Amino acid sequence: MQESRRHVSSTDIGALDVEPFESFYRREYARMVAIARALLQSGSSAEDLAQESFVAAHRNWDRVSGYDDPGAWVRRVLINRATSIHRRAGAELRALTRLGGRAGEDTLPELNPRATEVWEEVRKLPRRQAQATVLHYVDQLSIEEIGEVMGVSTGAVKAHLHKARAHLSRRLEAWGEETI
Amino acid sequence: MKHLDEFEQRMEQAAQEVRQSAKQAVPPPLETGARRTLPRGWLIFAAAFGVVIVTLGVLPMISSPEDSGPVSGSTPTTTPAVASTTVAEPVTTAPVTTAPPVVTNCSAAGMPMPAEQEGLPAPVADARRAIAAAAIACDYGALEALASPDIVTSFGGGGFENIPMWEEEGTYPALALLVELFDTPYAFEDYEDLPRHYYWPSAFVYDSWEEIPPADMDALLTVYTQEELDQTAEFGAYALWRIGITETGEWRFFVAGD
Repeated sequence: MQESRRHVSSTDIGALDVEPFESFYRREYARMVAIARALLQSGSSAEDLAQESFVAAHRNWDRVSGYDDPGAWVRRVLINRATSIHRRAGAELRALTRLGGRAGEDTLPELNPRATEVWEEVRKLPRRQAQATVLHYVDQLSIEEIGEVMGVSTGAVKAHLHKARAHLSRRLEAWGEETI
Repeated sequence: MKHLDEFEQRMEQAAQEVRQSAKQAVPPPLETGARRTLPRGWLIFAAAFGVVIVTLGVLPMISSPEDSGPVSGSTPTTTPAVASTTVAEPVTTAPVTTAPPVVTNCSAAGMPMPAEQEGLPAPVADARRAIAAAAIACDYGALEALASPDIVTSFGGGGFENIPMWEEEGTYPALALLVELFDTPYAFEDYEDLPRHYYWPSAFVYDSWEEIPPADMDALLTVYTQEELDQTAEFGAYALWRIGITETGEWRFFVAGD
């Protein structure tokens, strides 16, 4: 099982200075939206996902604020939820169609076609490869930081990134050929 | 090398585009609702979650009985009971002392109820219906009342409390999985010293991936992506999420892993 958890002892919590949730939220918001935007297709879904992840952090702030890096916890929540949202997207769209409604409009500027193409390919990668790729390129985290967020070893992160790069670079080559 | 440089350049440009786009997002006031504290048991489980205990033969959910014939679909037969010979006590956990929170937003919110399935004994059909309804209602209290006190949700430890924890942390869309799995074909298996167990999806009862009938395999695609199934095929047998309910209507399993 790849998913792992950091053990948190009650003695680890509350011993350090605790950052107020509000400042943490404002400081990290745009970065979380960026990660979500790369992992999801829609800008409005990305904002919703980022907000949901911060709500989870707020509810558990007594615990989360005591972590060395509360941002890593929120990123983990976000990337895990991104997968379930992606999975449910089809069902939600079908439900909206039945109800005569429509999906929420994007609140973020559209990406240019070249960038859109890149993230569409990233989203087709195996889940862990996609997560590592987004955390590396979009959030500019180190290998160690990505490992912390994903709950895997640095070796596993390197392997995920290696496979993702290999696949994406082949796709990039194909794009070049298609545009000739 | 030139190609790799171009690749890295393109990835960086795409990342820059996303970062710039996200900077336009203004953090709204969060509707956080009532603040609550997670039961300690959830943290204890979280620490142990990474451990997968491979205990073939210990529990019916871990190992399919070698000699029992799986019966799948909506017309189960009365296959004679042939059982695994070693049955240990299931993993048990300390009772949850904090009342589970009632929430209105979970992964199963708004999902349709699974269609009724033919051939299920009334206690099993009732349990299936009630579990699905509670999941769709995001009602952890009702779900916990339906679960066996010894319900197994992870081979690393922990019982029912894992389900709200997975939902809360977004680790797995547990409630949506429950509903989705109940919409797949079922199968049952008989054991020597245990009541008959009904399983969703039916794919679980087959000893090898190749034995899973095409229709049962197709049903898995309503829950998993082709890629996830391909990875499981490499493992050799279905080892993803499954639900187990005894013929008496006791919800005993909601677990994944090998």
